[in-house]
Amino acid sequence: MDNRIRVKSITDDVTLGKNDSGSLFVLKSADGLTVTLPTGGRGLFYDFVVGTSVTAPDKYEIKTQTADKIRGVLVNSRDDTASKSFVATSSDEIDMDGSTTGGLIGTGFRLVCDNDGVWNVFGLNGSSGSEATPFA
Amino acid sequence: MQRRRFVDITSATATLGRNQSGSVIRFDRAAGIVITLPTARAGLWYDFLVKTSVTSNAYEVEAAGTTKVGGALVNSKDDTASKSFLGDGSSDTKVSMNGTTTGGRVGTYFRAFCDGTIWHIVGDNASSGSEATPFSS
Repeated sequence: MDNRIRVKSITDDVTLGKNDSGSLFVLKSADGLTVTLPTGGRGLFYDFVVGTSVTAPDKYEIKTQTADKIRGVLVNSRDDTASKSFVATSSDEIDMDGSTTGGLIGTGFRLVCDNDGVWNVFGLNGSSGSEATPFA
Repeated sequence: MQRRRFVDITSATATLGRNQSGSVIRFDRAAGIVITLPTARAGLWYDFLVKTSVTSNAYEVEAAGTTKVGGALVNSKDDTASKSFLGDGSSDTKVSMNGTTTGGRVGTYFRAFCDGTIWHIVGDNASSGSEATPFSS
């Protein structure tokens, strides 16, 4: 038996459930979409990759619940170009616009929730142009 | 307690099985290895790390059949600004690391996920010299 993870394609706005923890979500909408995380809980984790690059001015948005925050680092990765990292210490969202703030094919990151309701993020964020923070 | 299964590859070629999904695949042959991923199926995933830096030929991870490879790898040089490379998911079919500019040195660690259509490669690729893309067709 193979050890596969659950894969779910997202093509429209969605709120994730705790029972989705451990899944790989493939973002697939050039017109953008919003993913709302569940209320933070210790050990919840979600992986995201971009299957379809979002087209500016639309965005891929990953949002927390009001009381929760995002911390961590995303490396905005441009093809054949020096990378630039962005650090979040208390953000509410990851916003990727299909260019400077990422959201292109190549993007892959994980969000893991700790004891304090903080979502810790790490990974790579496919971007273009003059990189800007995806954290808001 | 959870532990990961390690698979050491010491032969010139290897084809991964679906039942090895979730394993850490170690490159351990300085003369190079070509690893072929299984047929695309949603949810398959593998981690790859370099145990022995490649010094001739290349370490390659290639998709089977007509499946493509997308993703991002950061070619990381010690104590030096990094450079990223993107796989396009539409023409690229493999990651190829030559031990220098395209990576494949000790320190390399990346993950391959399959969404049922393409493979997404994300991670760090230890390299040297003037970095060049490890993605190719």
